[in-house]
Amino acid sequence: MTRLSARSWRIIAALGFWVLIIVAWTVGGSTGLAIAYTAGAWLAAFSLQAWRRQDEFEKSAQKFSWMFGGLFGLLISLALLPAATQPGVISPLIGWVADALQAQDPVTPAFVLGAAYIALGQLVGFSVCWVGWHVSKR
Amino acid sequence: MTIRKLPPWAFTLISLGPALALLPFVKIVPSEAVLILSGIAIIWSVAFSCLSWRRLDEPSRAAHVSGWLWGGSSALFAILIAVGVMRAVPGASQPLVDFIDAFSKKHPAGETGFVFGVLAAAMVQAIGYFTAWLIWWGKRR
Repeated sequence: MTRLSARSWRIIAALGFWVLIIVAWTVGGSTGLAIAYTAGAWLAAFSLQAWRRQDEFEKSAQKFSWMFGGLFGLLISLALLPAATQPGVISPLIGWVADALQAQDPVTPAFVLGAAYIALGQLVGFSVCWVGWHVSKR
Repeated sequence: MTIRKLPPWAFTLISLGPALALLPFVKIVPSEAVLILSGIAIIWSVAFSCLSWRRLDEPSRAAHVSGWLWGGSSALFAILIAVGVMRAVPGASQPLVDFIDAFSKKHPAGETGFVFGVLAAAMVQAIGYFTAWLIWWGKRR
C-alpha cells in the first residue's frame, strides 16, 4: 500500500470521494451530511498522500492549474452569476438541495448551493487547465 | 512616473480599485447596474492582475502560487465544512437567514441566499489566500 504511485492515490481519492458523495446525496439528511464530511476527509487524506509521492513536474502542473485554472474558474463562475440566478435555473436546483438536506427554509440550501457552485467552478477550471498543461508539455 | 514603470503592487491596487469602490453602493444602485458594473470590475481586475503578474519576480510568484494552493484550497474546504455545520446544528443558520431575509426585500430569499453563499466562499478563500501569502513571506524574512 505504501508503494502505491501518486496516480493510484489520486484515483483512490477521486473514486472514493465521488462514491461517498453519491451515497450522501441518496441518503440525505444528517446521515447524508456525515457521509459527505467523510467524503471530504477521504479526499483530503488521499490527495495529500498523492501530493507527497508526486515528482516536481507533477507538482508544478497541480500548482499552475490550481492557481490559473482555479482562479479563472472562480472568475467565470462569478461572471455567470446573472445566468445562474435566473429563477428557471436556480429554483429547481435549490429545491433539489433542500430535498437532499431536508431543510425547512429556502435560505440555507441556497447558501450551501452558492458555496458549492464556487467550489465546482474552480474544480472545472482546475481540471481544464491541468489537462491543457499536460497536453502542452508532452 | 509613467504607468509602464509602476511596480507590481501598484498594479494589484489598481486591479482591486473598481471592485472596492463599488461595495458601498451595492444597496443604493439598482441590481441590474450592480451586475453590469461587477462584470466590468472583474474584467478590469483580471487585466491589471495579469500586468502585475508579468512584473513579478520568481519568489513573489511562488508566494502567490503557494498562497492560492494552500491558503485558498484550505479556506474553500473550511467554508464547505462550515456550511454543513450550519445545517447540522439547530439554530446555527438563523442569524444568516435573518440577515439574508433583511437584505432580500426586492429578490426571493433563495436567490439572495445563493449569491451570499457565492460571495462568502469567494471572500473566505481570499482571506485564506492572503493569510498563506503572509505566512510564506514571514517564513522567508
